[in-house]
Amino acid sequence: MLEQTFEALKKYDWGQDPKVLKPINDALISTREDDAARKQLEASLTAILTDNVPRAAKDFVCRKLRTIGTDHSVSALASLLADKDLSHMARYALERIPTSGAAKALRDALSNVGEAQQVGIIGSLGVRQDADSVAILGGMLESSSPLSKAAACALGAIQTAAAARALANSKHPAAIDASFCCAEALLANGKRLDALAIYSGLAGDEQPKQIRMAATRGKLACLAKK
Amino acid sequence: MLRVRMFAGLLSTLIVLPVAKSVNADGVDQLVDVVVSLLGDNDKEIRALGLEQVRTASPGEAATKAFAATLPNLSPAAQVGLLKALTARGDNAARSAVVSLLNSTVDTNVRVEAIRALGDLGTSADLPNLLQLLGKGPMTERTVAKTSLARLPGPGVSLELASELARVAATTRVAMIEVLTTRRALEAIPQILVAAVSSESQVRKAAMASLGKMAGPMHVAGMVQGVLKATPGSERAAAEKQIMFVCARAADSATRSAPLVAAVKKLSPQQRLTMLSTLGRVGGSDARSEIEEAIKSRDSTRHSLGIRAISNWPDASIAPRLMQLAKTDPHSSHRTTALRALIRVAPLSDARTDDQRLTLLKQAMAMASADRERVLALDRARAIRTTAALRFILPYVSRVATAEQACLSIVELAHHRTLREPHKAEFDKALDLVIKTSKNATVIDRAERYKKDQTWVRPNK
Repeated sequence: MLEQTFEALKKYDWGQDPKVLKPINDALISTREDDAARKQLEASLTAILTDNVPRAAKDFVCRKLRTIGTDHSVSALASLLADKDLSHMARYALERIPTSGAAKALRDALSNVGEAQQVGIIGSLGVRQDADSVAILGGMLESSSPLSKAAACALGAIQTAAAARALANSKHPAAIDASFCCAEALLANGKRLDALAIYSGLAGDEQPKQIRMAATRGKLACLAKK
Repeated sequence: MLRVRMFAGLLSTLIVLPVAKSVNADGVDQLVDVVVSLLGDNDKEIRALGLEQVRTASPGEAATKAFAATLPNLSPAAQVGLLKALTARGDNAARSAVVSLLNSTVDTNVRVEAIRALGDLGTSADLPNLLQLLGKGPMTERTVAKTSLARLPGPGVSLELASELARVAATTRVAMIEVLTTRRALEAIPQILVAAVSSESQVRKAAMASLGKMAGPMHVAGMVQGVLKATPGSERAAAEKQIMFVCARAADSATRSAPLVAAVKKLSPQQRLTMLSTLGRVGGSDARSEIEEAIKSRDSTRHSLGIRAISNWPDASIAPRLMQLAKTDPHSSHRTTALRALIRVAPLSDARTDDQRLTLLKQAMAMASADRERVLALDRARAIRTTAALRFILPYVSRVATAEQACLSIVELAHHRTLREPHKAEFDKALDLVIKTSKNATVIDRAERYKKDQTWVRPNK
């Protein structure tokens, strides 16, 4: 039954009744406690990514790998990162695969893809809060505008003290929002000193009033929190 | 996304953290320093961040004193803000700074706010200052000083305030009595009783009003002296009502007049006559016998005062006696007085049913020989919210002398939606008659609105 469904998947395209794929969805649930069956399912899905099948089929596979993907599917997903039609679905899956391999694949792809795909990959590294990307992203802050903005936002999402330090060197306006994101997260995680340093840097008289007020509030929150 | 250009290098320089290192050691002190610096900012919104902290953060005397110490160095606007915040903080460690500022500033707004702050942060030591402001300050300062005196904390404040009553001018004494009333200073009642027999009418009035709110049965004898001292007319009537309020608070309504009767019995015959009216207002069996004695008297003045006293009766239990007097008293003016009293008490809310109240009112109406009493009865009929009352009023719409009052009473009954809506057809018919008959534009407007199920908002008096 599942084999027939995989055959149907190879021909699946938008406009067809998605019910034909229901056995795969059911298998995702039924293999939850069965590592071997889950591994087999992942392999079958990953194999589709290398076949010449409609985009809708690969889209479906990426969605499923987001749920059950492991290092075994990283390579196949990474091969799609440069594809302008499938890069975003590959990232969609890689963002959620909880292995360092998935993060590394995203980082490695940065030098091999076009600018549009780079922006997406940077965003995915932010979503993963990948601390190992801080140096790469920090280096991008002074690059062309779309990349530097994306890098600033990603660093704001990573929310570590190192990310905040990288942002401090940026002239990009997005870096201020990102710095606030870092400070708020650090404070919420009990790292008051790190948060206070960021807020203090933003509370100076040379800052516009709205930034000064926000930073002062943060500073007071840091000092009041025991 | 925020658009800011001047950001380069800032964080990297400040992330080195000499400031942050001291947070663990003296985090609270550092917070106070930051707040103090914010309080002096020229921008009011930045100051507001600091004021928010003053209100809620860094509890403790040291922080309060640090915040309060900035007061002399701030602009008047910032001083006002900080005074409000310190008041909200509620720590009287700020008191001495507030007092110093009040003594040194000439800015009206700052002075007013400092006086207000003393109401929460002050102590009995601030009484002389506040009393002086109450007596001699500009009107705005007097008003605020009065509210501050009413709130001034401390167990001995009310007594100290009361002990000053005799030493201040009449206007100030009136304000102080009002303050003591607001404080519900029961311990000050002896001094207020003294004020109730003051030679100053305004002081007497304020004292009796205060006693009406605070006094108990044991103070009635003293209040009687206040009634006797009051100028006949509105002042005495008001004073009598205050005794009525005190007696009405008695748990047992049957004995509510006992303290008054006991006090009256100790008076001279002339004074007892004066107090008859008060006895009538209070009611009760003891008061009744005193009044009946007066009514029986052959002395016309005493008889007249007895009639007037019984006409003040607070409830409808006196109705049979009033009816008897309205029919049999030899003097027509006394009969009229009794009838009017009967009309007044007939619809009063008590244990009787609506029908019983209306029946009594109808009996009073039947006894009325003048339109003035008929109009009075129609006016009182609106207090009985039934369709039977509506049917009682309706025939009087067609009589010229009573038409306008009847129309008004009908719209008053119609005003009550819970009565009007279940009897819409009957009310619509009555309201049509009102619209056709009344010459009063407001009454017509109300009738039209009620017919359309609209509301009408009674204007404030």
